[in-house]
Amino acid sequence: MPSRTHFIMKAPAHLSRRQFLRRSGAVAGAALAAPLFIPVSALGRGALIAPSERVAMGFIGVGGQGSGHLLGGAWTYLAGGYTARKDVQVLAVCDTWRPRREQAKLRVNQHYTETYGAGKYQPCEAYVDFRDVLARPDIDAVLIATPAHWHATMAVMAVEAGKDVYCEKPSAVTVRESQAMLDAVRRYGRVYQAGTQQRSEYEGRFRIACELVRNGRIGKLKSIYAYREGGAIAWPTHFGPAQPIPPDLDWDLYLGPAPALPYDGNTGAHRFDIGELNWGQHHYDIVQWGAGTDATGPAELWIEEGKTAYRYPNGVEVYGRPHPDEKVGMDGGVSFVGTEGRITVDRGNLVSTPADIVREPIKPDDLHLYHADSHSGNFLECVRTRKKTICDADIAQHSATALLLGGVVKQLQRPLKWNPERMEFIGDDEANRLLSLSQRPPWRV
Amino acid sequence: MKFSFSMKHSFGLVLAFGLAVLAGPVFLRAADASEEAQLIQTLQTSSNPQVVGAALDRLQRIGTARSVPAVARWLTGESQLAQSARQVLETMPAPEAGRALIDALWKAKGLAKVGIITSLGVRREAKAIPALWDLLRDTDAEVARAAATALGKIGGAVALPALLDSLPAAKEPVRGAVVDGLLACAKRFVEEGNGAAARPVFEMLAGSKEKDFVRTAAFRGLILAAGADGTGLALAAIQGNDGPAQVAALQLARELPGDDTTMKLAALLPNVPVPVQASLIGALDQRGDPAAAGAILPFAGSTEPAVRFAAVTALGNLAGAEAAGALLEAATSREAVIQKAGREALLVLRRGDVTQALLAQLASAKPAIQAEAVRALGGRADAAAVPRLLELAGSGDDASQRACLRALAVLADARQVGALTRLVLAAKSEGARAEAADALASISQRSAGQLDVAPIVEGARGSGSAEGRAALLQVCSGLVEPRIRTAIRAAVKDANPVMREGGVRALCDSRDPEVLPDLLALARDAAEVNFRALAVRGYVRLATDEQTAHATGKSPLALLQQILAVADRPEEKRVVLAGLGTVVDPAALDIVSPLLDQPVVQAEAALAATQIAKAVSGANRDLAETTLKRVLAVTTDAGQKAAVEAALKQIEALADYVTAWQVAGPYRENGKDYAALFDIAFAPETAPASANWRLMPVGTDPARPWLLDLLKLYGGEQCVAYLRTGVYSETEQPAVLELGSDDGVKVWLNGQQVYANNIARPLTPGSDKARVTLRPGWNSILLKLTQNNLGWECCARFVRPDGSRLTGLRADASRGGL
Repeated sequence: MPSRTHFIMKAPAHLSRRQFLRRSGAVAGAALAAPLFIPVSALGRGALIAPSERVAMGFIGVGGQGSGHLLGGAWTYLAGGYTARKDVQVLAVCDTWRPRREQAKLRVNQHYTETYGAGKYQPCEAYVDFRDVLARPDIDAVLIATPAHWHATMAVMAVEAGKDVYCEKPSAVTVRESQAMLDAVRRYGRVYQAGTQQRSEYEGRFRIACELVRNGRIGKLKSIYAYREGGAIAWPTHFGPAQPIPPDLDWDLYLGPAPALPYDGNTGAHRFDIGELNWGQHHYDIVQWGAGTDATGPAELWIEEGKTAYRYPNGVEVYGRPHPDEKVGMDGGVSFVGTEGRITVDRGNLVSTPADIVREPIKPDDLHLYHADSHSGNFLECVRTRKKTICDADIAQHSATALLLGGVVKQLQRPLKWNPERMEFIGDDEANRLLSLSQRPPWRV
Repeated sequence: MKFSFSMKHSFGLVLAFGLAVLAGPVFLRAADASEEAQLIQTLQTSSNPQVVGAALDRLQRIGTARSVPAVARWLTGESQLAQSARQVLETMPAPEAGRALIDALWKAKGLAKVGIITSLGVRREAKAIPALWDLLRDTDAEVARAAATALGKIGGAVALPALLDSLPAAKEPVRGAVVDGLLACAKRFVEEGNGAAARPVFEMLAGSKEKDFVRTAAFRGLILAAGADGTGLALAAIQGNDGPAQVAALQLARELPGDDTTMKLAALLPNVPVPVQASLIGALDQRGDPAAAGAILPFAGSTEPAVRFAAVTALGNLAGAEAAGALLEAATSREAVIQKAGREALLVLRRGDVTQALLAQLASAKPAIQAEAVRALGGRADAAAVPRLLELAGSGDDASQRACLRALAVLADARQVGALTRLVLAAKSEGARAEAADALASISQRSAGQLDVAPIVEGARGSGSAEGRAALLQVCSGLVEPRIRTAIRAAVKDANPVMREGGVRALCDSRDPEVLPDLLALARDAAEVNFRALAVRGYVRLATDEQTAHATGKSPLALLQQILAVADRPEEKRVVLAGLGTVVDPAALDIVSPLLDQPVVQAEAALAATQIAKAVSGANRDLAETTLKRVLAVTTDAGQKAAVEAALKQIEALADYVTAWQVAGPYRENGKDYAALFDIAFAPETAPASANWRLMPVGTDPARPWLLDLLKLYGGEQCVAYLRTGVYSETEQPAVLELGSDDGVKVWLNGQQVYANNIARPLTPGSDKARVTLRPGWNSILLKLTQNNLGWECCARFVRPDGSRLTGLRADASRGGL
């Protein structure tokens, strides 16, 4: 019986994965039940990832969110995580906390050992410095689930290292960062997907809601309740006395672009947040999808009832608070209000007033939005085919900007006018100066 | 101490900035004319890093050219302040800021220098190019890398030669930054409409031995820079052997301009390798040009799953009726991914007469194809298909009829009740009759009680076949309506056995509480054993329906006691026990517990007792534990034992929550949200005796007896409330107060604040833990709970430091407070 070589086997260190596959003529994955497979030899050049090959991934940040992606968890929308996927091989995990990365590595390798047998796969390695992950030529894509202040910087560096990127939200913490991220993705032609999985997951509720709105089922769209207001970050100018840095932590790498603060015990993902930076992009992503403004942004911003509010060029107003008459919506939700009704959606609910609006299905001749029902599946499909993902860098840049503009108006507490084409506030230097934050060297975007 | 004016002024500023700093993120105040001058003075006179930092932070927003010299002196100093100083100058529109950064370049070293270079890049400071050119050769690799990145950001005809000049000698890690700078320069040329300036750069890199991903980027740039020639480059690359170029071309294929580009791309499909086919079809799909559909259609039958998947998905978006057959074939695929793609594509297929194409398949195709056509017609909500479906359902062969009826179950509405009633009565096979009846039942369900049942009732009482009339009765069983009740009762007494059975089955499926006595009588008196069993089942279902209690005023327990009295056989008792298991009432245990001693129903009695005990355990913990232990003693089934043990553990886990509390509130303040209210002291903190304390209602949610539900009590948003109680401990002992709160919570124990979490979130019991020491005797507790919006809840209990149960405590709501 001729021997068959699977990619899961370890490649010689001096060869890239593609080179290894080309030389070995590997026919990978068939026995591993990847859903679709084509012999890699049919391609012969190794540039595209053939369906028979696994997408090799590195996971940067394996705390709560990252380990959920990696291994599955109570919150995750992917049972068993990426590790359990037969079309993925996890080659690297990275975290500034030693126990996290070592535990993640252990769990991944345990799974592979149980599934494929000891010594029959290329083991996952643990790294403290993400630059070492990016330097590996055999990794196709990285998943970034680090503290928010790192997201865009790492995404840019990953793209500049030739990696495709899945990046948790917020996609950036300043508008300038969001532009730099988009610019890098376009410069290198990489695949990018934002961690705004509401476009794909939750039984398609958000897509259906947006399709109903875009097809005029609530008449002319007048206003949108985003449930959460804008957000931003601010570097602290005040800090307490230093504590000893735990030996298991690389505090300097945790801080990254943030100022060189003394260690104070807080290694949270959102320690520099103002407002709704954590959840906000989920909400504004759906606001923009439903309003049909994925490629633009608000024109006017102000504070109303203590929360941020926007007016888009088409007159639609967006309020950063819940709809007063809705009992649902806080779970990532949005309420669209039109001249003939209202649609409210969150992760568990899709409701309307009148109730019949959501009962009437979208028909073939109606406008259909990008349809994917697995966020990770969409990302991996696009890594292979080079298609545009459901939340690509353009969409992420605009939804992050919608969120971050709210952060500016929240800080200034006065009305502002925004030019979405030029990406600048109109006649307001003070506001424009809040579109970026300096980064601690050597970090930059 | 005597202060000079300036010293006092400085002190005032220090104080002001100190306060601003302590207030957390600074929400901006409007600048006044003298503020900048004051800030400049602070920068010149203060050595306090926090005060300087706050001044720089403010200048980032209001600083002008006047403040540049004062800010610049901090650029090369302590790293955090240097970063703040860069922040001021990086974003300042005044050209003086750029000049100051250039000047500082030569004084700075190491990372401070890297930071300044980065800031020059952010500003796109063209005057810095000569300096940056020199720095490309700096021995500090970080400096050289930063210079390359900055030059890339500045771009233009002057920056580009600097980068090109350094490339031949550049080694990693600097080389990567130089290449990136070149790509950035060239990309900017393209964006500015100067593709001619960009092409040589991209051509040089695309043809180089740089890494594959660099060559992909360069080839991508080359296609974009080439204007009208770009499409030709992309077409050649897709057919070629250069992997990086091919990847770039495939990714851009979705957006290449040109009227005939779609067809040129589509024409490549037959002659490229399989993975390229899949990618190219994906690109054609995302171009959204229906012109590609014809070229893609043959690939819907590809033996390569990746290609077939891409083709089927694309056809749904691009093709029309001509693709219906191929997509139906895909929808019957054994490959789950293909089947799903086919089904989804059929739902969006929209060019030409797709309805007619799908209907045509109903009359002639294989059963699997028929089934998928039915699914598609239903999913497409294609009401235009209804007349033809009704026509086919009354003619054609049996399989075709049934397929049409399945589609009608989805598409027909109240207007088709008469026609479908006639189809039930006229059906020639049992299968067709059942499908027609199902279609009627579906309309009934969707009409939410608004259906005119006259045609169905008249049909059931008419002269049609007994089988048809019986099937119509079955359709009626889901509706509560006097005419239906009369018809069902008449049928139960019908001499025709088919009609009688139809009537009995309809009665036993009925949702009408008025027929409970009929069911009780049937269960007691029917000669047929199976009818008795059906009656018991129907009675139990109705008795445990929430609507029944509303309609009859009788509790489920009372109703179930009646049926238990007539349920003679073990199988009937088991059904009643299943119903009893759903009753949340400790009295139900009085009925179930004796049956634990009857071996033939012991297993079902054990299950019911376990369910009831779990449900009532919050308010009846002792009874629940006693019952569960008894179940454990008699049951022999391992699974049942495990379930009981789990229930006992759960009771213990949720035990000891403190539920005796007084509550005061709600408290609000104009313009303050929940987060701000968290630190505003209201009466319970400042004058507890004056607060409006009252007993906190508990047990408002039977499933969560430990829950304190403030939303139910007060409602509202953006407010706070307080809870207080006393807890008695025999001895001094360490403990952990386990809290769950929606939203934020602050805790005082014996007058000392021991915990605070200003947050908006849903409740998770035990999410927050505060280590405390309980003193002997009474310990007073005060909780402050904030409310953002929606839920407003809390729960609290004490456990030992190791997480185990802490027994022996007791609570008294009158002994709480600060």
